[in-house]
Amino acid sequence: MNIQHPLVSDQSHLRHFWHPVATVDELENSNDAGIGPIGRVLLDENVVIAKLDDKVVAMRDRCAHRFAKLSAGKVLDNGHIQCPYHGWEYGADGKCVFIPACPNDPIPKKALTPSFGCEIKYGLIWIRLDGSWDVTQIPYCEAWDNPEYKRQIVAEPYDWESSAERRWENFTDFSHFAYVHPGTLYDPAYSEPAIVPIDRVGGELQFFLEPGKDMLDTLPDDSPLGSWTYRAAMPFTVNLSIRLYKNDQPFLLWTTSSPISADTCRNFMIIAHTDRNMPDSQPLDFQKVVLAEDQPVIETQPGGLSLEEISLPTDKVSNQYRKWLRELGMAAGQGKDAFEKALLTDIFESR
Amino acid sequence: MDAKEDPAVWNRWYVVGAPTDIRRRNRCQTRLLGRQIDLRIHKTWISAECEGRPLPVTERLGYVWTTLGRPDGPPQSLLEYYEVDRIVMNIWSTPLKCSGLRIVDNVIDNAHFPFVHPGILGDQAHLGLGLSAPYTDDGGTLWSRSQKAWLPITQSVAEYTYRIADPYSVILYIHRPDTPHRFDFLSIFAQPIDEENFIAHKMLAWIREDWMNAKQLKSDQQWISVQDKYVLERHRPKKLPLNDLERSVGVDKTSLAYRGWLLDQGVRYGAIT
Repeated sequence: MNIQHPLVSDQSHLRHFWHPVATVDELENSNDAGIGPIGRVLLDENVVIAKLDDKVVAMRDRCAHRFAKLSAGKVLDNGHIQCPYHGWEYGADGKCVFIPACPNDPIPKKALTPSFGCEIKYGLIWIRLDGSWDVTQIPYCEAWDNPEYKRQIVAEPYDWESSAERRWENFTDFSHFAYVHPGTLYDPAYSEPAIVPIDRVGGELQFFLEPGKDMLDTLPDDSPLGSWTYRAAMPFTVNLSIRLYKNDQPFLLWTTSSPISADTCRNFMIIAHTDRNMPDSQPLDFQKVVLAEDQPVIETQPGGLSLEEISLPTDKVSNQYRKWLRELGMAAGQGKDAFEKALLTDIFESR
Repeated sequence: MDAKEDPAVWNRWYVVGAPTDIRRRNRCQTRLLGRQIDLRIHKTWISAECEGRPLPVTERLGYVWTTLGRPDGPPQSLLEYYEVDRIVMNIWSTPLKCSGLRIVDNVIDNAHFPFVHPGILGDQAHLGLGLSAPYTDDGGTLWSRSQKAWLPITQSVAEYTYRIADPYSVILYIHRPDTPHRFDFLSIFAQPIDEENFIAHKMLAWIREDWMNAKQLKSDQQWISVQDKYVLERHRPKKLPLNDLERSVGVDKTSLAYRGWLLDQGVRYGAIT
């Protein structure tokens, strides 16, 4: 949808960030061999993911010949991915290595499909469409870092008809808790949120919120009420590290929105906690309730963020986020150095 | 006089600092209306007390606001400050040795630009530009719209509107020829330490342009303020005279309107009445 006065007019810098596109489970469950190929969309780019010679690789999901999708083909025993239409075979670097129709002719130089940076981390498959500047890294997740955690759950991804920006803002928006999640995450009596200091550190927005402890009396036991420490790696990740009021134990909610397009996103969630005996369904079901409260509201918003939207003092997190997104978009237009400076210059409010 | 005896001053919100500065300097004390204010820095907010009495606090426009009295409502608002395409900052919080009313009077007085800020905010070849009549709106705010001044830096006439919602503050709307419905904002929030001393909190909220450099903006604005500080601290008396308005010479129409407005409000603290 076209937005009047968009916050960022050119979104191409998002290709320089790492985004998750699938869970490792999804690849492993894709067929008997567990090696793909599977097709995903990231920033309007069709991407095929496959395990070739034991390495997970990503490339444009398009055969150079007649543009059929490689994700509809198969991975061969020789470590090549084969197009389903005429059997062209591609290696891990995206170069075509065999054309069945002309097996003895030289392979055209243009017979390739671009390969992308691809890494496995936190049980997720991450892709960076443009690694030419190489100034970004896979966002931080505390789940395996903190030895207090006894269980890490990589949830099944879920898609929303919403932009990744909107989903990020929704997750970090203090003012909607009392309104959209009364009795789930918050008590409506606490509708006026704190205006907290926000730091930029190493490409992350960092802030802290301490919801009222009195809410313990009214919220369900599974509600992760506690002191909330946010480490939000730009542009779409949030590592929400909670110290639960009820038992002083840590609880992690980690989420990343992966932009499929300007107004659809695929969301990944990792939950980590300290209770070995808790069934995974318990925290997952609670999050499903929360998401079911959010989704119908957030999907009514247009995908793009607009400068026309009215911002209040209590929208500080979103305002700071938007300012940074805008600075990143503008800096990217000036090249690598400006972008790196905009991303990695630290600014402190808390100290 | 004790500020408590002046409800027009007592029952107002005042800025006591920018939270970032308070945190960075670990500042735990300041003064307001002749009293010591103790500040406590929490992880998510900053609280204030006076002689053990917790004071209301709120964070607005990049500052911590508090009050000793009972204001009618929240601190004055400027929603444009929160527009995402703006560069916003506290230019400085600096102590000045005169009544805080004096700085408001100084800011709204365009006539001093060519003399105190020659080559920056005016020059003596361009005096006597158009003035419009100040007025008070239904909410009691004093407005002086479309004051014009020659701006050497752009070689053009700049247009300003002043908004005075509190005796000790002024917000300057700088008109933008390219975007007629939007403004750049500068404001002074004076924190009266006592009747003859205050801290000037100077806020900037400009629409960000590609050429803008935050450090340069800050130092330019500080330089302008240094020039005003020099003049302000040499005014005698240190308080702002409201008692002989009809005989005032060298005071422009907006300034007269401000002084009249202060009289109407019953302001005496920091003034000579």
